[in-house]
Amino acid sequence: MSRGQIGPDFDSVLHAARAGAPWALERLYLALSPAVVGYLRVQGAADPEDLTNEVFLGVLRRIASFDGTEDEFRSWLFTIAHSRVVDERRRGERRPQIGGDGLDVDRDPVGGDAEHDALQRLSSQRVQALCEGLVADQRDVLLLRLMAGLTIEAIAEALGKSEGAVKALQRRGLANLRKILERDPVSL
Amino acid sequence: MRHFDGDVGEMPVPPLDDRALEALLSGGSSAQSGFDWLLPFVEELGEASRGSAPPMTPALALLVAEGFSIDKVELPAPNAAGRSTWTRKPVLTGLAAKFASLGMVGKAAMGLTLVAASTTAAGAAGVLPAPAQHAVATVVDAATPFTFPDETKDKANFGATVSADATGGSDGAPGVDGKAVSDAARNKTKPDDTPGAPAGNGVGANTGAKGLDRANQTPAAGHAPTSVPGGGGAAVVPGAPAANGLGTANSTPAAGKVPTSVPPVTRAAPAGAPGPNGLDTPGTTPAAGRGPARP
Repeated sequence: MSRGQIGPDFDSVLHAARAGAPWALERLYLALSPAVVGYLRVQGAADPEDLTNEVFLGVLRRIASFDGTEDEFRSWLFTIAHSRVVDERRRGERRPQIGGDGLDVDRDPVGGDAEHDALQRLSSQRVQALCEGLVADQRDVLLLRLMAGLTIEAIAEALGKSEGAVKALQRRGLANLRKILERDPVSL
Repeated sequence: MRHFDGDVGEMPVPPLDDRALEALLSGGSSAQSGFDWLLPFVEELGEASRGSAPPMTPALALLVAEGFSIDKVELPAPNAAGRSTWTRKPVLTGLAAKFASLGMVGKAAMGLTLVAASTTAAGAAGVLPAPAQHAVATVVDAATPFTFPDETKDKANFGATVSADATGGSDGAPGVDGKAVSDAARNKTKPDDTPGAPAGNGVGANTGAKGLDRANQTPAAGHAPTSVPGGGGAAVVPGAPAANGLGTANSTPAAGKVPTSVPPVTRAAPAGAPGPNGLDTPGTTPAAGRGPARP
């Protein structure tokens, strides 16, 4: 699995972004926004593209206060994205749904690879359908762990739980996911 | 859809630690026994995370296009074309923001500090009103080695200075130069700068006719003596009412028997006596003793 990464240039990109350099802000967005929008889509966000914009608007405005590695930046980014998902759930605007309106083809994404974007949405729908069989906490842990690549510690901080609780949720989530896949192997 | 909460009939799953996760995410799941079944799911997750960046909203597009302004720091050379807009906050804006962020106590303390500093500066320049200048000068004299101008203090000491000159206390030679004293008094005092001051205050405020005019307004106006009782200062008691010595004169057994001539004065008034009014040498004028008795 290839996660959106900046790689060895991350330190210089972050340094420039903290100073407000537009080129660095743009590079962060282009590298990480696809993963964020995918996470939000799988989590059933009503408008994942718009919510991704909100997440990056908040992150980039506060980036001057951030200092850390790329993995830590990624954790910070997905923690904020997850908090937006939680906010949306609380507002009751939309619950996670199987086969939602992910195929909003009228959008013109940056880069414009329509075929790949359609596959991305289809993958999101299949993953979303699988995750519907999990309770919310297990789904959150597995997606943050497997999709965002967060550590147990980072997930614990993002969810406001202890590391032991996160490990337990992960173990139960994986066991339940295995049951789902064995029962319905054609889901993927 | 039924949720699997894993509480009953849970399948045994090996722990997914960070090393196992990294191997899984990097596609090396074959090395991790027990997680092969998860690989299709992880690949699907990866597919859902790839693709193009979503279109930017106007707010985010503006932020990314313009950047934001903070204090300039050393930047690496950009890898792509971009603009930077560096500005510094105006100093006054920053100070105003800091003042606005203070609490009520902080604002009050800063205000008092500014008032005190302004008052001290004005006091040093000698531009305060006479009473305020005197107060500031007194505080500064007491608390610091500096001396601020104090016109009130100078006026108050003038009578004592003349008195000391008259008795020889200052230079050993009795008597003063009347013209010099008169000139000095005129320079020290402006006629109208002490409104309402009692006549004969000893600092030259009761010059000439003005003192007589005030005396004529008193109850004893009709009994004003035409001359001063005998030398030696017997009729003048320290602490007696000031106006021309009439209060003292009218309270003596000789009241109503005003002498018609003035005996010659043969010696100067004692130190601290009410002799000079700042204009004349003691005992040389009929107005001798007009000034208030000074303890």
